[in-house]
Amino acid sequence: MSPDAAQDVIEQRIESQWGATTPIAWPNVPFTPPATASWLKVDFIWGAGSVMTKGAGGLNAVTGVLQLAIFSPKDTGDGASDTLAETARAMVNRFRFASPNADVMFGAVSGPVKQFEESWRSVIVSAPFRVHEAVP
Amino acid sequence: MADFLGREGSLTFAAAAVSNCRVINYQTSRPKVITTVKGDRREKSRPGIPVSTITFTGLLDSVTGQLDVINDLDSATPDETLKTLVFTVATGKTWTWTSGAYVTDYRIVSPEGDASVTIEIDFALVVEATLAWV
Repeated sequence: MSPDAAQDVIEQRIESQWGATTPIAWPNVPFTPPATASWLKVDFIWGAGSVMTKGAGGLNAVTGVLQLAIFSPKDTGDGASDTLAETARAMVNRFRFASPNADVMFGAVSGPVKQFEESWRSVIVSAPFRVHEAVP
Repeated sequence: MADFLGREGSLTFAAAAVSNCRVINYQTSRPKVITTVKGDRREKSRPGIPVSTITFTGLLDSVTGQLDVINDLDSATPDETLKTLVFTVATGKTWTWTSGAYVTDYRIVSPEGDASVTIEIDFALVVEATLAWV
Protein backbone atom coordinates (compact mmCIF):
# COMPACT_ATOMS: atom_id res chain seq x y z
CA MET A 1 0.00 0.00 0.00
CA SER A 2 1.30 3.44 -0.87
CA PRO A 3 1.75 6.10 1.82
CA ASP A 4 -0.98 8.12 0.14
CA ALA A 5 -3.44 5.23 0.32
CA ALA A 6 -2.40 4.53 3.90
CA GLN A 7 -3.09 8.11 4.87
CA ASP A 8 -6.56 7.79 3.36
CA VAL A 9 -7.49 4.71 5.39
CA ILE A 10 -6.09 6.25 8.57
CA GLU A 11 -8.13 9.39 8.03
CA GLN A 12 -11.22 7.28 7.42
CA ARG A 13 -10.67 5.46 10.69
CA ILE A 14 -10.25 8.69 12.62
CA GLU A 15 -13.40 10.09 11.07
CA SER A 16 -15.46 7.00 11.89
CA GLN A 17 -14.03 6.47 15.39
CA TRP A 18 -14.03 10.08 16.49
CA GLY A 19 -17.42 10.78 14.97
CA ALA A 20 -19.04 13.87 16.48
CA THR A 21 -16.85 13.86 19.60
CA THR A 22 -15.41 17.22 18.58
CA PRO A 23 -14.81 19.06 15.30
CA ILE A 24 -11.73 17.83 13.44
CA ALA A 25 -9.12 20.02 11.77
CA TRP A 26 -7.75 17.99 8.87
CA PRO A 27 -4.38 18.72 7.29
CA ASN A 28 -4.51 21.72 4.98
CA VAL A 29 -8.29 22.02 5.14
CA PRO A 30 -9.92 25.32 6.10
CA PHE A 31 -11.08 25.13 9.71
CA THR A 32 -12.59 27.56 12.18
CA PRO A 33 -12.06 26.42 15.77
CA PRO A 34 -15.13 26.48 18.01
CA ALA A 35 -15.20 29.47 20.33
CA THR A 36 -15.56 27.63 23.63
CA ALA A 37 -15.21 23.89 22.94
CA SER A 38 -12.49 21.36 22.26
CA TRP A 39 -11.34 20.24 18.83
CA LEU A 40 -8.99 17.70 17.32
CA LYS A 41 -6.11 18.51 15.02
CA VAL A 42 -4.75 15.72 12.82
CA ASP A 43 -1.23 15.78 11.36
CA PHE A 44 0.90 13.21 9.58
CA ILE A 45 4.67 13.33 10.04
CA TRP A 46 6.15 10.94 7.53
CA GLY A 47 9.55 9.46 8.20
CA ALA A 48 12.09 7.29 6.47
CA GLY A 49 11.52 4.28 4.27
CA SER A 50 13.59 1.13 4.15
CA VAL A 51 13.85 -2.01 2.04
CA MET A 52 12.29 -4.97 3.85
CA THR A 53 12.44 -7.86 1.39
CA LYS A 54 14.30 -8.69 -1.79
CA GLY A 55 13.29 -8.92 -5.40
CA ALA A 56 10.34 -8.04 -7.57
CA GLY A 57 7.24 -7.71 -5.44
CA GLY A 58 9.42 -7.05 -2.42
CA LEU A 59 8.32 -4.87 0.43
CA ASN A 60 9.38 -1.44 1.56
CA ALA A 61 8.58 -0.23 5.05
CA VAL A 62 7.68 3.43 5.36
CA THR A 63 7.35 4.88 8.82
CA GLY A 64 5.42 7.83 10.12
CA VAL A 65 3.90 9.41 13.16
CA LEU A 66 0.25 10.34 13.41
CA GLN A 67 -0.01 13.35 15.67
CA LEU A 68 -3.38 13.92 17.34
CA ALA A 69 -3.70 17.19 19.20
CA ILE A 70 -6.65 18.02 21.43
CA PHE A 71 -7.18 21.74 21.76
CA SER A 72 -9.35 22.94 24.63
CA PRO A 73 -10.17 26.34 26.12
CA LYS A 74 -7.51 27.38 28.61
CA ASP A 75 -8.12 27.78 32.32
CA THR A 76 -10.76 25.04 32.39
CA GLY A 77 -8.70 22.24 33.90
CA ASP A 78 -7.27 19.22 32.13
CA GLY A 79 -9.89 16.60 32.98
CA ALA A 80 -11.94 16.87 29.82
CA SER A 81 -8.96 17.19 27.48
CA ASP A 82 -7.24 14.23 29.15
CA THR A 83 -10.34 12.14 28.52
CA LEU A 84 -10.37 13.21 24.89
CA ALA A 85 -6.67 12.44 24.56
CA GLU A 86 -7.29 8.94 25.87
CA THR A 87 -10.08 8.51 23.35
CA ALA A 88 -7.66 9.61 20.64
CA ARG A 89 -5.04 7.14 21.87
CA ALA A 90 -7.50 4.28 21.86
CA MET A 91 -8.35 4.85 18.19
CA VAL A 92 -4.93 3.74 17.02
CA ASN A 93 -3.01 2.26 19.95
CA ARG A 94 -1.41 -0.96 18.61
CA PHE A 95 -4.06 -0.96 15.93
CA ARG A 96 -3.59 -2.91 12.72
CA PHE A 97 -6.11 -2.65 9.93
CA ALA A 98 -7.84 -5.76 8.71
CA SER A 99 -7.34 -7.07 5.19
CA PRO A 100 -7.07 -5.57 2.61
CA ASN A 101 -5.43 -2.75 4.59
CA ALA A 102 -3.26 -4.89 6.85
CA ASP A 103 -0.20 -3.14 5.48
CA VAL A 104 -0.87 -0.29 7.89
CA MET A 105 -0.01 -0.92 11.54
CA PHE A 106 0.40 1.28 14.58
CA GLY A 107 2.72 0.80 17.50
CA ALA A 108 2.37 1.98 21.07
CA VAL A 109 0.95 5.49 21.27
CA SER A 110 2.73 8.06 23.43
CA GLY A 111 1.35 9.51 26.59
CA PRO A 112 -0.35 12.92 26.49
CA VAL A 113 2.07 15.80 26.04
CA LYS A 114 0.62 19.07 27.29
CA GLN A 115 1.35 22.49 25.91
CA PHE A 116 0.10 26.01 26.36
CA GLU A 117 -0.63 28.42 23.57
CA GLU A 118 -1.91 31.95 23.69
CA SER A 119 -5.55 30.94 23.42
CA TRP A 120 -5.62 27.19 23.90
CA ARG A 121 -4.51 24.36 26.07
CA SER A 122 -3.35 21.46 23.90
CA VAL A 123 -2.76 17.82 24.70
CA ILE A 124 -0.86 15.90 22.03
CA VAL A 125 -0.51 12.17 21.53
CA SER A 126 1.86 10.71 18.95
CA ALA A 127 1.14 7.39 17.28
CA PRO A 128 4.02 5.75 15.39
CA PHE A 129 2.95 3.67 12.44
CA ARG A 130 4.44 1.63 9.64
CA VAL A 131 3.23 1.02 6.11
CA HIS A 132 4.33 -1.97 4.04
CA GLU A 133 4.54 -1.05 0.40
CA ALA A 134 4.75 -3.76 -2.26
CA VAL A 135 7.19 -2.65 -4.95
CA PRO A 136 6.42 -3.82 -8.52
CA MET B 1 32.97 -1.29 -10.22
CA ALA B 2 30.78 -4.33 -9.86
CA ASP B 3 28.42 -3.76 -7.02
CA PHE B 4 25.26 -5.62 -6.17
CA LEU B 5 22.56 -4.72 -3.74
CA GLY B 6 20.88 -7.13 -1.39
CA ARG B 7 17.48 -6.28 -2.74
CA GLU B 8 18.51 -7.61 -6.18
CA GLY B 9 18.81 -11.15 -4.86
CA SER B 10 16.36 -14.02 -4.70
CA LEU B 11 16.12 -17.73 -4.12
CA THR B 12 14.06 -20.46 -5.77
CA PHE B 13 13.63 -24.02 -4.59
CA ALA B 14 12.09 -26.64 -6.86
CA ALA B 15 11.37 -23.82 -9.32
CA ALA B 16 9.23 -21.95 -6.79
CA ALA B 17 10.28 -18.57 -5.48
CA VAL B 18 10.82 -18.57 -1.75
CA SER B 19 9.46 -15.10 -1.24
CA ASN B 20 9.61 -12.44 1.46
CA CYS B 21 13.35 -12.95 1.49
CA ARG B 22 15.56 -10.67 3.55
CA VAL B 23 18.91 -12.43 3.76
CA ILE B 24 20.57 -15.27 1.84
CA ASN B 25 23.70 -16.69 3.37
CA TYR B 26 25.64 -19.18 1.24
CA GLN B 27 28.67 -20.88 2.64
CA THR B 28 31.05 -23.46 1.28
CA SER B 29 33.85 -24.72 3.41
CA ARG B 30 36.45 -27.42 3.06
CA PRO B 31 37.64 -28.89 6.30
CA LYS B 32 41.25 -29.86 6.44
CA VAL B 33 42.21 -33.43 7.11
CA ILE B 34 45.12 -33.51 9.51
CA THR B 35 47.94 -35.73 8.31
CA THR B 36 50.49 -34.81 10.92
CA VAL B 37 52.46 -37.78 12.15
CA LYS B 38 54.76 -38.32 15.05
CA GLY B 39 58.00 -36.52 14.48
CA ASP B 40 56.56 -33.71 12.37
CA ARG B 41 57.38 -30.25 13.56
CA ARG B 42 54.58 -28.48 11.76
CA GLU B 43 50.95 -29.46 11.33
CA LYS B 44 50.31 -31.09 8.00
CA SER B 45 46.98 -31.52 6.31
CA ARG B 46 45.29 -32.17 3.02
CA PRO B 47 42.01 -30.85 1.63
CA GLY B 48 38.88 -32.47 2.92
CA ILE B 49 35.54 -32.74 1.19
CA PRO B 50 33.73 -29.46 0.53
CA VAL B 51 30.54 -28.88 2.48
CA SER B 52 27.97 -26.37 1.21
CA THR B 53 24.93 -24.91 2.90
CA ILE B 54 22.64 -22.02 2.23
CA THR B 55 20.38 -20.25 4.70
CA PHE B 56 17.33 -18.27 3.74
CA THR B 57 16.01 -15.65 6.15
CA GLY B 58 12.74 -13.86 5.49
CA LEU B 59 9.39 -12.74 6.77
CA LEU B 60 7.11 -15.65 7.50
CA ASP B 61 4.34 -15.95 4.93
CA SER B 62 3.05 -19.42 4.31
CA VAL B 63 1.19 -18.49 1.13
CA THR B 64 4.46 -18.18 -0.74
CA GLY B 65 6.97 -20.89 -1.63
CA GLN B 66 7.84 -21.02 2.05
CA LEU B 67 4.95 -23.40 2.67
CA ASP B 68 6.34 -25.96 0.22
CA VAL B 69 9.63 -25.83 2.07
CA ILE B 70 7.96 -26.23 5.45
CA ASN B 71 6.01 -29.19 4.16
CA ASP B 72 9.23 -30.87 3.09
CA LEU B 73 9.87 -31.44 6.78
CA ASP B 74 6.50 -31.11 8.47
CA SER B 75 4.40 -33.54 6.53
CA ALA B 76 3.38 -37.11 7.23
CA THR B 77 5.99 -38.23 4.76
CA PRO B 78 8.92 -35.81 4.78
CA ASP B 79 10.12 -35.18 1.23
CA GLU B 80 13.59 -36.58 0.68
CA THR B 81 13.80 -35.61 -2.98
CA LEU B 82 16.87 -33.67 -4.00
CA LYS B 83 15.57 -30.53 -5.65
CA THR B 84 17.06 -27.71 -7.67
CA LEU B 85 17.97 -24.57 -5.78
CA VAL B 86 18.89 -21.31 -7.51
CA PHE B 87 20.52 -18.44 -5.64
CA THR B 88 20.40 -15.21 -7.64
CA VAL B 89 22.78 -12.49 -6.53
CA ALA B 90 21.51 -10.13 -9.21
CA THR B 91 20.01 -10.51 -12.66
CA GLY B 92 22.06 -13.00 -14.66
CA LYS B 93 24.32 -13.88 -11.75
CA THR B 94 23.29 -17.18 -10.27
CA TRP B 95 24.48 -20.23 -8.40
CA THR B 96 22.46 -23.32 -9.33
CA TRP B 97 22.46 -26.68 -7.62
CA THR B 98 20.57 -28.97 -9.99
CA SER B 99 18.70 -31.72 -8.19
CA GLY B 100 21.10 -31.25 -5.33
CA ALA B 101 19.40 -29.46 -2.44
CA TYR B 102 17.19 -30.46 0.44
CA VAL B 103 15.85 -28.81 3.58
CA THR B 104 17.70 -29.70 6.76
CA ASP B 105 15.84 -27.49 9.22
CA TYR B 106 13.88 -24.31 9.64
CA ARG B 107 13.20 -21.93 12.49
CA ILE B 108 10.37 -19.49 13.05
CA VAL B 109 10.91 -16.63 15.47
CA SER B 110 8.16 -14.46 16.86
CA PRO B 111 10.18 -11.51 18.14
CA GLU B 112 9.35 -8.97 20.77
CA GLY B 113 7.43 -5.82 20.07
CA ASP B 114 6.57 -4.55 16.60
CA ALA B 115 9.10 -6.54 14.61
CA SER B 116 7.83 -9.04 12.05
CA VAL B 117 7.82 -12.79 12.54
CA THR B 118 10.73 -14.34 10.68
CA ILE B 119 11.61 -17.70 9.22
CA GLU B 120 15.06 -19.15 8.65
CA ILE B 121 15.52 -22.17 6.42
CA ASP B 122 18.71 -24.18 6.06
CA PHE B 123 19.41 -26.17 2.91
CA ALA B 124 22.12 -28.76 2.42
CA LEU B 125 23.74 -28.65 -1.01
CA VAL B 126 25.11 -32.00 -2.14
CA VAL B 127 26.15 -31.33 -5.73
CA GLU B 128 28.53 -28.81 -7.17
CA ALA B 129 27.17 -25.39 -8.05
CA THR B 130 26.87 -24.20 -11.61
CA LEU B 131 27.72 -20.55 -11.83
CA ALA B 132 26.30 -18.13 -14.35
CA TRP B 133 27.80 -14.67 -14.46
CA VAL B 134 26.43 -12.81 -17.42
